[in-house]
Amino acid sequence: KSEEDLQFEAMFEKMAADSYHERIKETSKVNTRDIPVPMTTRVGKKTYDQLQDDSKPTDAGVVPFVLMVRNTKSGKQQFKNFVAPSDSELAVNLKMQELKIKEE
Amino acid sequence: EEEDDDLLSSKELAAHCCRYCGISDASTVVMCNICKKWFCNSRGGTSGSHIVHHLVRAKHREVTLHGDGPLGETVLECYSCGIRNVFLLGFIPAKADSVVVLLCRQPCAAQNSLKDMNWDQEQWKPLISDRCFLPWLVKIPTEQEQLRARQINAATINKLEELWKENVEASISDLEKPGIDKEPSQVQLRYDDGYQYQNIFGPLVKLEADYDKRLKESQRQENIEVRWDTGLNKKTIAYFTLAKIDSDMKLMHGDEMRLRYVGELHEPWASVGHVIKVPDNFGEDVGLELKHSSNPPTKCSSNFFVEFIWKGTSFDRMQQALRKFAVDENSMSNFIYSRLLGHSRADDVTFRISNPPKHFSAPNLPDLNRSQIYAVKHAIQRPLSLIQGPPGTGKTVTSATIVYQLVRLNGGPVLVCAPSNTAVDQLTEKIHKTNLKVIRVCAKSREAIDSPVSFLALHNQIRNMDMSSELKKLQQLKDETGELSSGDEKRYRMLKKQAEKELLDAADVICCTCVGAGDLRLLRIKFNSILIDESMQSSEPEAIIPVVRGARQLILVGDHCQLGPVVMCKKAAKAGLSQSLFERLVVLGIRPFRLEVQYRMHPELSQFPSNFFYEGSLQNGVCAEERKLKIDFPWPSPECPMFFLVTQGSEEIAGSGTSYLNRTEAANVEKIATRFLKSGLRPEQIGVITPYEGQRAYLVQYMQYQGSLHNKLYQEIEIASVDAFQGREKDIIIMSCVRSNEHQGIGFLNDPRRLNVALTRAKYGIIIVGNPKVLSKQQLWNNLLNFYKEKKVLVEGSLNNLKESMIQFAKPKKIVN
Ligand SMILES: [Zn+2]
Ligand SMILES: [Zn+2]
Ligand SMILES: [Zn+2]
Repeated sequence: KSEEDLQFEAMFEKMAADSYHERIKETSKVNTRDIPVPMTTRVGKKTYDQLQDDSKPTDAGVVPFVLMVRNTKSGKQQFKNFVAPSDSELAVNLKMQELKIKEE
Repeated sequence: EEEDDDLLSSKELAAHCCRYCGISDASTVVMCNICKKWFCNSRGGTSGSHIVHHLVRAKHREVTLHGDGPLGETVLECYSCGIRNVFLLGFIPAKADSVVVLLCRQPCAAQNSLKDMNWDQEQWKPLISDRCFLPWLVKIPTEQEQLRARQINAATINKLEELWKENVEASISDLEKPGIDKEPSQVQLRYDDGYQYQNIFGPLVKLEADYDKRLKESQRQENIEVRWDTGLNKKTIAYFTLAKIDSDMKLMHGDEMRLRYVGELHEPWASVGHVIKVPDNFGEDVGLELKHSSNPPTKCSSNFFVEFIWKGTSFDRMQQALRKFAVDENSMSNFIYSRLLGHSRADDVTFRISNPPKHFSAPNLPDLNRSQIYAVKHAIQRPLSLIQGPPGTGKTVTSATIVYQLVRLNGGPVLVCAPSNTAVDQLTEKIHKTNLKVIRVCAKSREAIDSPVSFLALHNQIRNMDMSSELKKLQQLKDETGELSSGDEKRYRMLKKQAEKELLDAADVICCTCVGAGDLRLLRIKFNSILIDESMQSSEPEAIIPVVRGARQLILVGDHCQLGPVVMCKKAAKAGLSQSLFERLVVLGIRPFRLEVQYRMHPELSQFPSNFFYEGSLQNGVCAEERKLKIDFPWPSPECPMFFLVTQGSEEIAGSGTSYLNRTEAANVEKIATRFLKSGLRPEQIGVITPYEGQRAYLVQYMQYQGSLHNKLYQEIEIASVDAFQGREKDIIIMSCVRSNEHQGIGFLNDPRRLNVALTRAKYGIIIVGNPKVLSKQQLWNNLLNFYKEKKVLVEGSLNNLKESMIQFAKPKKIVN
């Protein structure tokens, strides 16, 4: 690694650390909102296993997800579909959770 | 026609391609919200993706995903609080569901209320992992794409980012243009003449000015919430909090900002104001006093926009002074001119003084010790002298006495300057005590700022003088209504100018900052005698401003073993702008006259600094008994009120980029401070020194929320950088070193002068909290640590049970200072 690479890495760490420390400092002033898990979207959504069984022509090795965002202008909820590789932490975690529920 | 079409499409194509490597696949690029440039998510031979490189180098923190990317056009922000800093953002999945939401690490993802919900709080992960954006947000270009793209390394990225600071539209090809890498000429020890001097310093001042301008003007912020108030002078004050963008930038009293209303509840409005409050222990808000009360939208509290207004006054004055130095032979005596250029004059010239003073002291100031008397004698007899005042040696009293003697011998006015307003105020106060007629000239933008010598300020003395009844009336009218008709205003200014002239002509001493010496109101006056205090803290062009006001006798007071001038622009600093005139004259062989008796520190505290920085020449004017605190405190060695508390904590920086190491030190600092407070010390007796802003802010917060005593007490403990403590003292100093690695460029460990200043602020006791393993790698610290070890005050454990630390580190090498 070059000197610039090391410098960049150190600056990255500092930026992340500074962001966090500043945030801790100002946290008392932050207005936060509740985040209900959107029940409506659950309808029609499939479990991990169902997805695997699905013969739909989805890419192999990926798992569909939904990102919930707030529209910047209207402030309304929006849902954006995306896929994560089935070996990604996100997908693995979902699979684990579902397994757990099944066992219960 | 066809050609036009082609051009258009190539332009469109170019719009979102990575500004580093040219990759243009929309699913792989992200836009920086601040500069609106696009960057891709590939590493391409570096240790972070291009977008992350950009954010870090440019200190930008917000992005928008491309419309054709996996998620469509999306501004990344916290779902709950809306913050957009991507270094804080992460995501959590719902429990056993495929819904994901973006949340900031603090406070949203850490909130307890989340626990009850269906979110899997434990699973929070940052959006930037391994210095790349997660691939489900932004795809990573394929290997083929990367191979086809322009190959760029971290060094080139760095250069390009630097170039963008000067020209936002620059491209990689501009890097190859000649002159880009051209370094400015280095400062020299000697100069042929004033022209050469100007030719070298002029460009450096320009570099620094450009840097300062860019920095200030880039600090614009939107979504500001304002709280309104009215000051005693009936002017409107707006209070608001700024998000920190760049820690390099320091907000100062008197800085100008423009506040603008951009919402819809009021017609468009904007006003300029002066900063009258900066973030401190008592609050993070900024106070802006508006210049003209042009009907501010006081009913509105949100939707404001603020920007800094850069003022080049100080740089303009430096350039003017450099020009004058080059062309005006009356700007100073020939002797001083040739000495400043470094032309050798071996003879020690002294003035013949016809009526030498019998007593080298001044009314109402303490009697001087021997080295101080010699310093006064030395200074008043020579056309050019350097007085070196190590910490606590009575530099201000000596300076005031010199000024008093100069007025007594030669009459006034004597010009007295220092780089900072605080230093000028301190000296003004002392000189005033000697019953000389002193006037403090402040910049107009600082007239509203209160100081212990406000009553000596020119603008206030005018109000108190026996002025013409007309001026009095107009002043009253102006105070009451805030504004005068244009005719009255003209008349008022004329009368005021007359009054100012009258006052200045009668003054024995005029005090102002170095930059203030270029004030229009003083241009008419010629000063034969000029004294510059804290002169090691001013850059050469800054010190030249007072010197060209006619110097025939110049006295520079300072200490080249303490901190030098602050130069922000690296290029200019590297070329030597951060060296003071005092320092250069010392190198040229002009021997500074050193004050040798220190009255501040407990003798044990002065021992290391004396040996290490002043060849062991510092004598103690106070004895241990006078510097003994009559309180119960567990000093490991009661006769030696100092110790180094070994604090190792977790040394590694966590993978997510948050170091908890600072917390361990902060916790120790809090415990020590609390112990002092409990034993009866007042908070204002304690000072906490820490090398950088992050730790300062954290300590302020930590002490107030985690300290076991009332938080008001902790607020009154001053917590600041070494630089902020220069020129001042505290009874007790606690120093939190914070782990510093070579790459963070803190400069705290490397600069002996900074360490000298840190070690010499305390009168009664000093405690250092730090990690000796890391620090001892630095030779300078190695010496200090061994000194503490020999004194048996290198300790570890809890305050109630401090034990000598057996930690081993290399024996120090001899350092030639
Ligand atoms: Zn790229
Ligand atoms: Zn940017
Ligand atoms: Zn948040």
